[in-house]
Amino acid sequence: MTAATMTHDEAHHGPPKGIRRWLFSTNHKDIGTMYLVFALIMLFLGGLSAMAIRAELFMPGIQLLEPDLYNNIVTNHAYIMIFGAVMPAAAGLANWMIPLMIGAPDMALPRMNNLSFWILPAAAVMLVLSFIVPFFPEGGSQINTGWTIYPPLSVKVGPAMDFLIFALHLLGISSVLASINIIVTILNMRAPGMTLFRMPMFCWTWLVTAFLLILVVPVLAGGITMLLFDRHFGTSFFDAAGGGDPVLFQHLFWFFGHPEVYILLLPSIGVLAQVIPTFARKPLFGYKSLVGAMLIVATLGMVVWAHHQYTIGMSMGAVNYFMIGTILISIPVGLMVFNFIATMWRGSMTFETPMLFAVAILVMFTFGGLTGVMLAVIPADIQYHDSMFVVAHFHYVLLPGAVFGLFAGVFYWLPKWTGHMYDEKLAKLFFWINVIGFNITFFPQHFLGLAGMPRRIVDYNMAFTEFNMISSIGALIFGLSHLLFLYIIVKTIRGGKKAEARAWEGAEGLEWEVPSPPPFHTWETAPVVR
Amino acid sequence: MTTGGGEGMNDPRENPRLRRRNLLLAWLLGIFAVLVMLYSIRFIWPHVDIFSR
Amino acid sequence: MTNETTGREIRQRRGVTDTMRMKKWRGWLAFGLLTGIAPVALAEYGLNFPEPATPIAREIFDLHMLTTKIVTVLMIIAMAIIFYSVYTHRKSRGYQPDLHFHKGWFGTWSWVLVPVMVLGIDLTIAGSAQSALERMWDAPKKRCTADSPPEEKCYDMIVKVIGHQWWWEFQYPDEGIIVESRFVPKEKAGDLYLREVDNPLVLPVGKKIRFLHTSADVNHAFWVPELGMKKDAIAGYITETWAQLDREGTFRGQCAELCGTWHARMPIVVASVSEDEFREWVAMKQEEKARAAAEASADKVWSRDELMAKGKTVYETKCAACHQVTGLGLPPAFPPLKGSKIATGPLGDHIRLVLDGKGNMPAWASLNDLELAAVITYERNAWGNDTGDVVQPADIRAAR
Repeated sequence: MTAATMTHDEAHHGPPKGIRRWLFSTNHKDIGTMYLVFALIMLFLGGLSAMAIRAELFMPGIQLLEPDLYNNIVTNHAYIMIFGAVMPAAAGLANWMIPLMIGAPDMALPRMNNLSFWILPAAAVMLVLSFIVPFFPEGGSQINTGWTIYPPLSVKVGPAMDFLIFALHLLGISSVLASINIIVTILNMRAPGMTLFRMPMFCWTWLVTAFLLILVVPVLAGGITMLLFDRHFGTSFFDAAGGGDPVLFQHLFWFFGHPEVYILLLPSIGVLAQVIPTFARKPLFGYKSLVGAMLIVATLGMVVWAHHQYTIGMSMGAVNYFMIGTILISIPVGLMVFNFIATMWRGSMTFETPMLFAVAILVMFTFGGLTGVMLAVIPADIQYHDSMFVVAHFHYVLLPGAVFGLFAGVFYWLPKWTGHMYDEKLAKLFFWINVIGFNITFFPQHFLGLAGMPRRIVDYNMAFTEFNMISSIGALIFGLSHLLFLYIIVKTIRGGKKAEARAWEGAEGLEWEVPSPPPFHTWETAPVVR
Repeated sequence: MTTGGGEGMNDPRENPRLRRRNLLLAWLLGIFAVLVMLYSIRFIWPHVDIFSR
Repeated sequence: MTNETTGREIRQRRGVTDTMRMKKWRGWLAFGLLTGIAPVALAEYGLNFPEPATPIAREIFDLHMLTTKIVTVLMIIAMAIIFYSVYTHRKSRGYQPDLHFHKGWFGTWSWVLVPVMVLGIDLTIAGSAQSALERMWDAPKKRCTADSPPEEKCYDMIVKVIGHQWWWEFQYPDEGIIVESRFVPKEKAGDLYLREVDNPLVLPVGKKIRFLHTSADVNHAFWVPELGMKKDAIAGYITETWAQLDREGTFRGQCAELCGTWHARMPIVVASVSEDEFREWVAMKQEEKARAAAEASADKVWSRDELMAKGKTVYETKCAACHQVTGLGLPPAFPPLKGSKIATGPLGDHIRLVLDGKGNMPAWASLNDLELAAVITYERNAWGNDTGDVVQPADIRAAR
């Protein structure tokens, strides 16, 4: 890749000017940037809803939010974070990094890439409308069902529910199209010499994630379409009086919902797989066994969905099967965590912010995974199910697993994207406040669950007061820390110490051979990988 | 590790074979996704007496 | 800076020990939290499972303690390894990366060893769960007879649990009584608000009880931690559990499936009493039921004051959750009754609406004629509605 070639390309294919650049972009870097900006905005929106929840739960009594409004905010918090923040951020990382990592000039289907992104703001508008509609006359009730939108309750909800269903369809289409793009790109457009077993682990994790998405998102789409029909077209898929079954929806939802958590997790695991070798100055331990473990996690993860439904009245055989299957997932996951620790082991580590997050992830995600094993054990789950213990568990796997992985990726690749090193001191400060705040928020919730506090309740008995107060204070600290995150990002975009092409000493891979920031078009001539 | 490969080989705009492979795989995956959705509805269909309210 | 001879990095002047110290501190903090708080919480603060009241709940408690201990040990091991590595294998201490680590025997065999170890732990956990699972899962299908041995899988009595938005209905088919169990408002419940009900589920100690769960509207879930019991209540379907209380006491639970507006306010109270006390209570309930039925079907003409007083009680027990004691409702979900077109308009329409329900409002035809006559009279005259209407049980009977 000579300097002459790059300037030549830039002269011909520099970015278009003004709003057209973004609205009609077919450039993976710009689209990646848009995904990330969108995700950041959604992170704050979802965070605001979390602040509202924890503010209401700070003390017993109903101080701020009517119960249905509270239930709606609980519902929206989940949808915004999952579909608005984590998934688009992961897609943003995929868009930015996959072509750079495999030596491709762009994604396989650049125009579809544009569509995949621009569907998202439309979906976000639908989601916001679903929140606003009940405030108007004839607007009906709020969506007070939780993100699981189980019938019969979700059939009774007012018109807001239809907006949500529409939003979910849009989000699903966006995800499926993006997944198709990623699979085709990874399978067809790797540079010569880059076999599948030579490509960066981040690409593997997204390959598996993309296949998972294609397999399970349509099932959710089917389920919510049936819900729509029950609501408006006189069907009774989920109505016992008409010969249907509310539990059917649960199965369709969780058949999507469980693999969804691996969809949320795997790209961040991919980030870990890039970050840890860089800062340990040692290659990834067990590349092949990591790929194998990930495939087993994905496969097993598709057949254990009903561990979210232990109390519906399944037969003993069925419930036993789901318990064993769920417990067994700990084997490949354990292997993956182990491989990351073994990458660190006997490396020569430095602890810049991405690595700080990586270590925090290994500790806290492992803890979350272990409470997951506790939850898998049916007799005990009878006590944990639908209590705050579950809320604590999934925040310990989702935040350290998915979100912190994305933070690590952002700090890791910001120098590449912007050409500037971020402010390391500020970033470390953000890390500590964030991680400490997180633990203060969610650790006490385990005990609330054990003591008998259910989840999704607007008010609780005064016996649960102290730990709720601690959790809410932690949430305030945790929430506010994200302002620092925003500040650091903006500051880095605007300036900072110049970043080299190889911004980190131990970084390996094609993405570190293009300049920081890279030109508008990269790898127009494919590198040959030996 | 890297030297220049064939110019534009990796670019579907300049490599028709690559473009065709991309489109074929994309369509296959897309049709598969739609079939999954239809199957998840159709799987249920015979078991439910719809329009019976 | 590098030592030219050994190739080792010369330690920097500045305090990289800051990060080291912080990481160690964080490690100890996490360690302390996990191992320190847990036993303390167990003992003093009631922040572990409450004291079990059935053999199954005891097995669950033991299983929970086992998995908690395993998780704690595994976390200690994992954190020890991670923090040791973070402390030792760092560039600032001059540690050089060991590029041959992956090729040693550990690198070659760990991908087998680690899964085998984890599998071993998994099988231990799954194995311990089996006996509890088998004991608790299948509810007894046949009734115990006089010569059933104590271990036999049979039931002595049945209780039907029906979830409503937002209260519980308990039916005792063998005894022929029904208990409606609603939350007690904060003024009367005090510290027990959200954990206290007006009519608890009274159950006898020592008897094997088969529970049948269903719902009248949306999904609910019946959860009482001391019984080790949680089961979904699904409209149109019946789910089963069973329990045998082994001590007397008051056990408090809550609805455990988001069921709409007042999911937070559907407590459950189980009053576990001796067999004798249970029989007394059943007798009392049967008598109440007989009296109410007689009263309702008597051809008495009730006075306005009698109807208003009784109506107020019925209203505040059954209607105020949605329409509020003040009659102002919670629009748009729950319309006001004060000054409403229904409560001040044609009487026939008002009676029909209460009998049949509409949309999210359930049908109240299960109330007896006297209760309905009283509550409608109350609604038509309270809060300044003052229609002057007085509804008699005979009017309700005619309207059905």
